[in-house]
Amino acid sequence: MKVANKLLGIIFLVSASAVSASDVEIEGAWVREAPPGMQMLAGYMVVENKTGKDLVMTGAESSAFGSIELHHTMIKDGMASMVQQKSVTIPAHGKFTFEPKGYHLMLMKPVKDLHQGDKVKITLQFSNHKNVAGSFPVRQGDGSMMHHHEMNHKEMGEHHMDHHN
Amino acid sequence: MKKILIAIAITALFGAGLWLGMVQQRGEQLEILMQDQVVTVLKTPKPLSEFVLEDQDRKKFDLSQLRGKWSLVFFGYTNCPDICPTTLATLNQLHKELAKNAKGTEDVQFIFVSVDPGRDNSDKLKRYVKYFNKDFIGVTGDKEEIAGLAGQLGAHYEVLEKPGEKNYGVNHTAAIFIIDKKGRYFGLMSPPLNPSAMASRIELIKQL
Repeated sequence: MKVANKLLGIIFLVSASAVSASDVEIEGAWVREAPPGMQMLAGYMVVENKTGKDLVMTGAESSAFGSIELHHTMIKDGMASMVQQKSVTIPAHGKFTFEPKGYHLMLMKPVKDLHQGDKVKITLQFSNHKNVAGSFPVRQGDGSMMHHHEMNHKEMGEHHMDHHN
Repeated sequence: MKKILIAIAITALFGAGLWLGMVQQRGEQLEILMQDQVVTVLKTPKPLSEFVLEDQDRKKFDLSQLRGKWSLVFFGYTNCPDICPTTLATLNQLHKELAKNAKGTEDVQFIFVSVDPGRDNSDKLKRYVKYFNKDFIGVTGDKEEIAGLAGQLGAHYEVLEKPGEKNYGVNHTAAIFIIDKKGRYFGLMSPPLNPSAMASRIELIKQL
């Protein structure tokens, strides 16, 4: 009986933490592997806001990078430009997508070269919500296969791009 | 006759997207032969005049390097975290698509022109372009030299340099310029860039 109570307690704790951790979710997160020595990378993801209020994301931080900014690539009259965003708003019960040629985390001054297979932790900051951390695997490519989560690394390597060291 | 048949094939392929228009660039208007969402072909290819840049091996890269092959030219900079690596990865996919065909990629070359000579040099360009594909070529030069090629193609760019600041952006044309085997400005491909769609258009226009 005691054991059963303890188990129930553990199950309760686990499920309670799962609920509180999942009111903001980071899905499909990845960082694009960059050519060696490059000081400027990009991170992509879908942020899901399961709360009932709009959440204002104001930035991000990671021990893997010197600094991180929110940027939006825009193509206007054939010209591509990047515009820094002070914040982005993730609507209540909605999603916000960071993707190639769109919104992205601009990851500056990596502390070391990152390679496919590495993972970096990036923490998203909000003005009206506690920080949310996510694990971002490093991948090669143009992002066209970003929704194929089930694809394994070997396939990614073959289909996406040859790696030249 | 062959040309007419190809023109009909292209017209059929381009379908409703076909229309005659103009590409406007710096006071100059170039008439368009055909255009769809993937490619724009000029009615009369525009011969390019001499320019001088330097490639990733510090060798002179001039007009003669644009002759004898079809060239796909993209302007950008290596400190660009999003659109440049995305486009180069897409061009690598295009390279693979073209490699599937009989002639492969032997008569096509891919050229990345850095418009940010303040931060990009030959060594950096070499590491950068070869990462995406060992056959890609990276070129740059001083501001006037870059303008010598970009101006002829109507490629626009704006270096948002700030005094004493290493972290600045560069706005640049997102299109990929097509130069034919005679070194003439032939057309361009505009985003969104789909590798297989681009490959099919290139195979067709190579026969024009």
